[in-house]
Amino acid sequence: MTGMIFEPVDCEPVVAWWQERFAAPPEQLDGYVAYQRGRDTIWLAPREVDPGDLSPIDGVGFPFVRIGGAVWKPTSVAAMKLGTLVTRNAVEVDRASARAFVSGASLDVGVAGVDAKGASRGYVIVRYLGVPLGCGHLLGEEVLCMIPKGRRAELDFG
Amino acid sequence: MSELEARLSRYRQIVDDWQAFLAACRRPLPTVVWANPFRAEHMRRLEGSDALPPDASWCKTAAQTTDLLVRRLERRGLGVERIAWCPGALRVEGFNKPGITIEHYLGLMHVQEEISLAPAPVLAPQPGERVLDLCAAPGGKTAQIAVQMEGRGTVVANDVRPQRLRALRSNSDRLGLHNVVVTPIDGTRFPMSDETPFDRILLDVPCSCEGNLRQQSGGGRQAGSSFLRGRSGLQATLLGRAWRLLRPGGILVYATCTFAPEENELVLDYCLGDDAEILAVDLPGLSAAPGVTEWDGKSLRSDCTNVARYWPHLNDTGGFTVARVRRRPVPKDEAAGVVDTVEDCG
Repeated sequence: MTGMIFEPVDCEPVVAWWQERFAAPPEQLDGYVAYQRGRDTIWLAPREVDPGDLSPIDGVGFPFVRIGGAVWKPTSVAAMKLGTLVTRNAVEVDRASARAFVSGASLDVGVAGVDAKGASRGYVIVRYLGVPLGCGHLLGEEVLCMIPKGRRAELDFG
Repeated sequence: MSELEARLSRYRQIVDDWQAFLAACRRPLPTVVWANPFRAEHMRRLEGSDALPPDASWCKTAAQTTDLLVRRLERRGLGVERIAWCPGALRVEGFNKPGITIEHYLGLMHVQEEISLAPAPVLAPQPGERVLDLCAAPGGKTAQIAVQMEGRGTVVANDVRPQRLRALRSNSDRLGLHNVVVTPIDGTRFPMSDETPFDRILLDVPCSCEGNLRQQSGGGRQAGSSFLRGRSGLQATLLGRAWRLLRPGGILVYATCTFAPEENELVLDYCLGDDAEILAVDLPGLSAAPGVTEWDGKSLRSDCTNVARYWPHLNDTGGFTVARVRRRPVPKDEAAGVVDTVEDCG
């Protein structure tokens, strides 16, 4: 659906959540402001980005977190944009697991090539060589792929 | 006479080398990609490269990102040639499915036809400005604009077509853009605001796409058809609206991927008044032919000669036509023109 209202909202709660869940550097989101679209998505944009009085709007900055569920979920866009610098709840994977994950496969925790050391149940950022591939959901011994279906693909890693 | 030649014969009088033009139109295009500085840190990690000093300039960051992308593509066994007139852009031989590579997925690069890279550097947006891309989907030029602005200021990326707007959003997300406002508004009715006029506007209008005939998908409509006449009307309406959204002293770039003067110089001649000045376009390393000042027995405004016509044979690309138009500052405000110096990334 296009053209929903983007309401400026307080940035502090989502920044605090991001820092707490992912132990991101405190300054990582300095200078960003937050907008809420509909009931469940918070977007972030640099403070100087000015939507003015434009209406309708389809996006301001990038979608950051879904707050509609019982647990807040980072968007895959945020995971990929910001996930290089997080130090908690990041799952490091090798090349074979990276290929499987971006194609939509779930990953078994503990097998060679999937390092979820220190990660806790909930949403995680899956990384290959420290580069975020997207968002996963750690449940028990499995990391479910949360990459949007339209973005999943059998990729050529070269 | 071949079908292609018959279709294009109306341009014979304004093309300098007809045979070279036809030969170029028959050749397929190489794949072109550009490296995305917004993913510099991702690229460094993948390549195990050292970070630049924290105070490294955007130019240095962009140059490093490009160097590392070249290294990755060459490691794939691909032939890579840097495009001199567009920093960060690469011609890649034998790159068959760039869209299913890890580099594309991660937003390290964007695939874009070479000549369609031209309008953004002609616009030359500066960090901190307010810029409108009125017909923005699928967003390659929007992303170029955001890169040129170093992620600072505001890019309003608008498109009324829902399907194409999704492509724009998808590209913006994949490339990690953050200073973009996306709007789904009919460009002919884009709301005007005295408080927030635009410093620069890119108007890459819907057109008959004759310049795309080298792409695998073909492209192009028969010029002179009712379709073309309808396009000219829409293009004129869009230009008229865009002009009113531009601040005095601002720059508008009008671009089409088509050859027809009816969609280019005639639209500019019809819409622009005394407060407009078509400026010369100069992208060092990219050859252009002058615009037409007479067509079908009609004389056009003299500064239409400054329109840049990128015929396919001039640079071995697709075809594009680009006009850089300045809205004259109001007399009391002569110094209010946009700054036109661009940081030298050479």
